[in-house]
Amino acid sequence: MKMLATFNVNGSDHDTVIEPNMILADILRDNLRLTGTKRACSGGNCGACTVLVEGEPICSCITLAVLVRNQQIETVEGLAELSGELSPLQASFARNNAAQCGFCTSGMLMTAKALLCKNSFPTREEVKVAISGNICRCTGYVKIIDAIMEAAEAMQTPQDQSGKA
Amino acid sequence: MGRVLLPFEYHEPQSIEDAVRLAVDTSGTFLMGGCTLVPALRRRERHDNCLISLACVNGLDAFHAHPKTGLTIGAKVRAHSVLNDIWSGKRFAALHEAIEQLYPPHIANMGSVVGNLCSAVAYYDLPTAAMALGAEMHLYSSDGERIVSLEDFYPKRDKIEARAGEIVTQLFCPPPLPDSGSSFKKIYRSRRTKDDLHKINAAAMIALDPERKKIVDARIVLGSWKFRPYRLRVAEDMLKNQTPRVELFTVATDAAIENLTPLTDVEWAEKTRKTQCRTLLRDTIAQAASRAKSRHNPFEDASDMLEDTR
Repeated sequence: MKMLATFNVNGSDHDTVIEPNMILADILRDNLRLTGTKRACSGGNCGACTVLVEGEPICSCITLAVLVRNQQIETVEGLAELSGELSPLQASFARNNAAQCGFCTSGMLMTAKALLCKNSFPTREEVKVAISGNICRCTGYVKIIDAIMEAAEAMQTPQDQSGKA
Repeated sequence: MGRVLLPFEYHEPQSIEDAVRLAVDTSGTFLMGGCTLVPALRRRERHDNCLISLACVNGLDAFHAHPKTGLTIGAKVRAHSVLNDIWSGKRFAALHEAIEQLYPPHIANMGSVVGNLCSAVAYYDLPTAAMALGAEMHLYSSDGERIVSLEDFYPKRDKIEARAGEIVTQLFCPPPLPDSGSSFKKIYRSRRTKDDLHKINAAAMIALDPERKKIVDARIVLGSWKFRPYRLRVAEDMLKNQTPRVELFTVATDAAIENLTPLTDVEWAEKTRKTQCRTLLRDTIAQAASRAKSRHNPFEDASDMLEDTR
């Protein structure tokens, strides 16, 4: 049962043909070529596939694409400026060496973005709770938490009043 | 785990009546967030020929929490809505804590509370917490509505008390007693799997008399112990009319689980699970009792309700 569906991804509408049994992560990667979203466990356990739907982090690997038609979806590709300039959060991850193999990074960034949009002054404990669904096998999390804390601070400074995480 | 789901028919009804009619006509399965269903379809543990999404059905998004009117959660209400509600946290703490500890936290943004309860998975946390709060499920079919207590909602392993063509429209927890508190705890925060039998959850509700000296009512529930949440009535009876104290909680939990046999795969696991359970239950009951004791003035609930109705 094929159907034409519209997905609003990173502010742009994308029309694509889907079937009801298709998973959001597959649509993003295979149909829309947004390969920043990773497929890893395919069971909602690791958080590598995290994207934001209506501003909330979800596991796109266990979300049927048909359920999120016409909703605002944000992926890691939407974080940076069109010019290519990194967002404060991405820049902070780079500065703090918060990525090693990088497989979990897109999910971490999206979860962190959702957190910082809701809570501009998170404590380390709140950051830990927020990213508890994102598994990283390389960094030991310390640098990731440092990066999120630093990004939160940077976003409060006068030169970064845009609020873009 | 297979990556691609097998094809299925998909429907998006707009009304409860249409959803019920479709369920009768197609023998379809209702779908809300899919947090349990999609991984099960991937693992080929089940195959559903037809899914009926509730996403567009009107009238299933009721959410109301208040100490005087109880907690109502419609079938479409996602778990994070409960997390963001102040009364849920204060007076329906067991359920609030169970949702807070969902793993990964993303699940709270995706799945619905009613969907979690309808999954009938023995090791899930929300049924345990909801049962401690005396929850009941509202079911609707072409014959009308009926209400089933959560204790009777799981007649068999992996099954719920919903007939063909019947839809669960909402969960209702009655208003808590004035001087009562509830609590939920589990061992291990990591995500559970079907084979993981060593993980246990517990929830308790303790109500005290107005002087807060004696226990007048108690509801103690263990999860992942049987195929459904299990009420420890022996312990509840031992606690009633007694002064709340940790020694009493220890004796009551020991007596309650002494003659019970948990779900187990190997012989030694039974002993381990019983030991874990004793500690978990004692702490859960103690926390619920402590919350009941330290409750704020119940008149505040009433004044708040007056403000709500103005």
